Amino acid sequence: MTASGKEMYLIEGISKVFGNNYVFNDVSFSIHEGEIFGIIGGSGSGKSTLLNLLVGFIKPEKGDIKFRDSYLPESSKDPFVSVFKKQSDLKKLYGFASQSPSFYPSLTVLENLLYFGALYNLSKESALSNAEQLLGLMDLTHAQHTLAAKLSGGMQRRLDIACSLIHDPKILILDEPTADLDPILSSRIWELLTVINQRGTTVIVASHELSHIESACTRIAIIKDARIAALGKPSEIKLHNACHEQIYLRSSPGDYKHIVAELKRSGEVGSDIKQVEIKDKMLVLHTKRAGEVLPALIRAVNAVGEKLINIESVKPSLDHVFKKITEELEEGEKKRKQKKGKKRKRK
Amino acid sequence: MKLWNIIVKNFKILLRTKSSAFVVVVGPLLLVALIALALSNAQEYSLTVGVIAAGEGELTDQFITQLHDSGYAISYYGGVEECEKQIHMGNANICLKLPENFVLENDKVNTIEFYVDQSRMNLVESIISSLSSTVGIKSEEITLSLTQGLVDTVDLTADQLAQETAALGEIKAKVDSVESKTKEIKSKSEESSLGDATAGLSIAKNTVKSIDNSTETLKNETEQLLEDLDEYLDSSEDASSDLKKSYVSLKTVSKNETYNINNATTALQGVLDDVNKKISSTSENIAVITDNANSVQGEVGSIELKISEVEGSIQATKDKIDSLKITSAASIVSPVEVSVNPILSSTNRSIFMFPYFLTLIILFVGIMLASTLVVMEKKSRAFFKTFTAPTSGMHHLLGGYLTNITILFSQLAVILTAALYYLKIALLENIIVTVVILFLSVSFFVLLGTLIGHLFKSQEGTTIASISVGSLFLFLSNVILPVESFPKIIRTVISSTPYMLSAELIKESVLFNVGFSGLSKSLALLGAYVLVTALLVVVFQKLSSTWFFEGSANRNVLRKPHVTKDNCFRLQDGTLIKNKEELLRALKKISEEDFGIYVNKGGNEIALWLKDAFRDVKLARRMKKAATREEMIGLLSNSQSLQEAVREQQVKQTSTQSVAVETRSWKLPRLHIQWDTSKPDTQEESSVQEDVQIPSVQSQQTSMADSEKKTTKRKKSLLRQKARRNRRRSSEVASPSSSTSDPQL
Repeated sequence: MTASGKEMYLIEGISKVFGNNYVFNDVSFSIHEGEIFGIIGGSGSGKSTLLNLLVGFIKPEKGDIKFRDSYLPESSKDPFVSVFKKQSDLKKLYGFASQSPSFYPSLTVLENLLYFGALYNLSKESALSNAEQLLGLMDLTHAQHTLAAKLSGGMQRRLDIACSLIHDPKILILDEPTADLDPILSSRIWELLTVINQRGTTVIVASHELSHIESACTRIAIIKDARIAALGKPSEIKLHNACHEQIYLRSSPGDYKHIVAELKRSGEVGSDIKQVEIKDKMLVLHTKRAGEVLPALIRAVNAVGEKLINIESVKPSLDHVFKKITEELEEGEKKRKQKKGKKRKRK
Repeated sequence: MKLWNIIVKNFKILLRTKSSAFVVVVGPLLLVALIALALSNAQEYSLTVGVIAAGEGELTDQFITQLHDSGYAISYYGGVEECEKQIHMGNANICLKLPENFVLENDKVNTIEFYVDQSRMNLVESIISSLSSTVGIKSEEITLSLTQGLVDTVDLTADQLAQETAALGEIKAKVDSVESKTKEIKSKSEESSLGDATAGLSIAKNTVKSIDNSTETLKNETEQLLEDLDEYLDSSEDASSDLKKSYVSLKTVSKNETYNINNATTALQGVLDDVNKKISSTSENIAVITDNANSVQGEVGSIELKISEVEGSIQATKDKIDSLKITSAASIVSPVEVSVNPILSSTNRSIFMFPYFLTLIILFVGIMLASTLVVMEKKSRAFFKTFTAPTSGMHHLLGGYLTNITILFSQLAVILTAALYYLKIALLENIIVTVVILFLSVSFFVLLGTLIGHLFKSQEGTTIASISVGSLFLFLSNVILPVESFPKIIRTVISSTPYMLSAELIKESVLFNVGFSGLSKSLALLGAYVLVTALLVVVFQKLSSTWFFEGSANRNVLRKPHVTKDNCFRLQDGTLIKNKEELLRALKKISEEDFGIYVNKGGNEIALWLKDAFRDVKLARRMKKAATREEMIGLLSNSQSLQEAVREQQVKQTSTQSVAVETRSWKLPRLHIQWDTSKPDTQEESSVQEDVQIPSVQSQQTSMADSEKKTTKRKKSLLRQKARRNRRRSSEVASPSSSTSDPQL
């Protein structure tokens, strides 16, 4: 489902403190309806805190978070309501799958779904109907009468997501949905999220899995140092942060110095190559214009008489962006400190 | 060592959970303090005795006074039933019925009756013993006085007897004298025995008789003679011989008779002489006897007198003895008997303790079950989802409450059924009241358990708290120590505790069949407990959900927006202040406008920073009060702590050189091929490299001194050399961590 552009959440200047530390310091952004919104950040950066703030479990020390209350009449002037004021309406709108799967291990899969359906005031028939659909979607039909404690990790995660969807919410919030799962299961979960989003649910997901975030999310926010370091579509962020593509070359016998020298000598690419390094017995070139550098490189290899074994071009991933942004921020901090130091020295 | 580490770890875990630490450490101390307080009560028990005294009397008053003096509170009642009712209601501990006609009499049994509530198993024996000893004391007093009376009488009798013994001695002397005199009289009497005289007189009499006989014979002979004579004369011839014969015979006879008469006369004369002698000696003796008799008479008179005296004395003693009313040994030894009557007909111990045990079960099961259920839910994986669902906390509370109630009532049903059939307790008679009481009791303890579950975060803390609370209730009840053994204030508190209320209500309902009207006050109080606890549960349920998500935030952080993570103060222009010296310098330089950013009506950020970063509360307080920048500068300049800081700084500077030498690069050098070797290293690059090489921690903390400048320069040159060396090594393998892209570009 494509994002409608309508804002679902408005986060306005929130500051949140835990102990003596800022988790968020004057953070503002919005989440649109129908999108898959990814939240990235290092460990302890505040991803879970942000999710808890979105659903009103914790209050910020400053600022407010508002959501579009679909239960309000259309005539009302301001469709946005603070999450801290209209909890009852908000709870009907979202489903939350926390970092550790949340269900009753002593109940069966179906019993869990029906119980949570009851908590959402669904009638027995509705709950049963929804449960059947979700069991099919999550591929848990065969295990509906199995005790939840006996399910595998992936199935438990799917059950958790199913319990969060039992009441057919407009928003699905997930905190590290693929933590502790193997890559295959992880991929399945992400596929599932995409399917759920296609059914019309806005998905807000906090995760470390940058590759999946990159592929699945409509927009992402990178949290660093109590602020949103980057916000937007993954492609935009990558572009904005000017990440380079990487060209990996393996040749035999592997005299990469000569290849580089030849490339330099040829003058074909000039300043297109920003960095050259040797990694794992491969020559790695960092460039923004891989399309031009690649043929020049091949020619250089042939010119020096090397035998080309392998060559590939890797586009910058979100992983790179994230690290870059993170390190840039740290560098900026250090630079500021150094400037202070120099000023003091001059004085 | 390992063992020690384990022990230390356990202590840390226990004590860092403040709630558990409080319960584990303070709880037992509190219990010990309570126990000490209870046992330090000088008075054994504070008992209220209901006295039923039908009549008045000295002995009745004495007993009541004795009870007063022994420290019992006395209440007077008209009859046993009224008093028993007061025991049921807890206003009296025991009823004491004194005999109607309470006097001491021979072979009269005075029985004091006790009416006790035997459901107070831990108290009733003490009550009986205590009161019995009080009654016994009085009884002993009476026994003592009676015995003393007897002893006095015996003493008096002994004195009297001593006196009488002397009198009797005199009497004895006199009697001896009389005896001797009487002997004398006897002997004299014997001497003056007229037996001889009598014998003599007999002889004389016989002699006279013989004389008579002889005379008679003579007379007869004579007469015969005469007759013969006459006959002779009548017959003359033969007469003469006959006459002669007769004459001869007469003569002979007369001679004989005359001899006899002479003899007799002689004898008679002798006898008469003897008799005369006798008579004269007898006369003498008689005189002596008479004298003796007189003397005896006199002595007998005095003996009589003495005897009268003794008689009088003995009479007096007898009167004294007769004056003792109680002479029966049984009456003296036990003037008063005690009889104990239970107010309950059954003697089965279990029945009496049943209400307390039932409440105990409700207490522990209610608290433990409810708290465990709450913690299980909190610890369960699904707990988080309960917050996301639009189901209010009240639903969950009510659900938990009803679950616990159902379980408990099921258990109670089994217990009560068993009690009905095996203990034969008449439960059905007052069933409605009992059910209401059970409902309130169960509700309270279940809600209390729920409250504990919400207060504590861990299962261990909850368990410890539940047990501690249960133990506290148990101790402050009648089960272990009687309530009467506690000091008055604590007694009042204990009587109002929910456990005591519940137990007493159940007892009164089940054992004494008391109705709603009699229990209204206690029921109302228990109901109030339920309501208050329910409110607390609601409040803490909300709070615990907040605690679940949020830790404590130091709101001060928001008031110090210019304070960095590492507790440095960053000015608006980016200047980073790390210590007071730098602060002083900065304050001297900044403008008033800038100063107003940090110190204004909204707060004094600088003072806050000083307080938090340096723990200099005094200086912070003074800085907070300072109105102007100059004042603050003055304060800082004068502060001793600043001087110390300066000294410390100097010490640091001297040691910085050695420290700086040691703090070399510890990161592995980045291996990369510089694309354009002809270009000099950009400052950015070199600074990046420098930053990469130097550990960031050290660069933040150590202040730059002149020696440090040199070190830095040296470092830079070293790094440049390294970089050149790395460029030459084109085939070295980089470490995985450094294989990521260099952020230079």
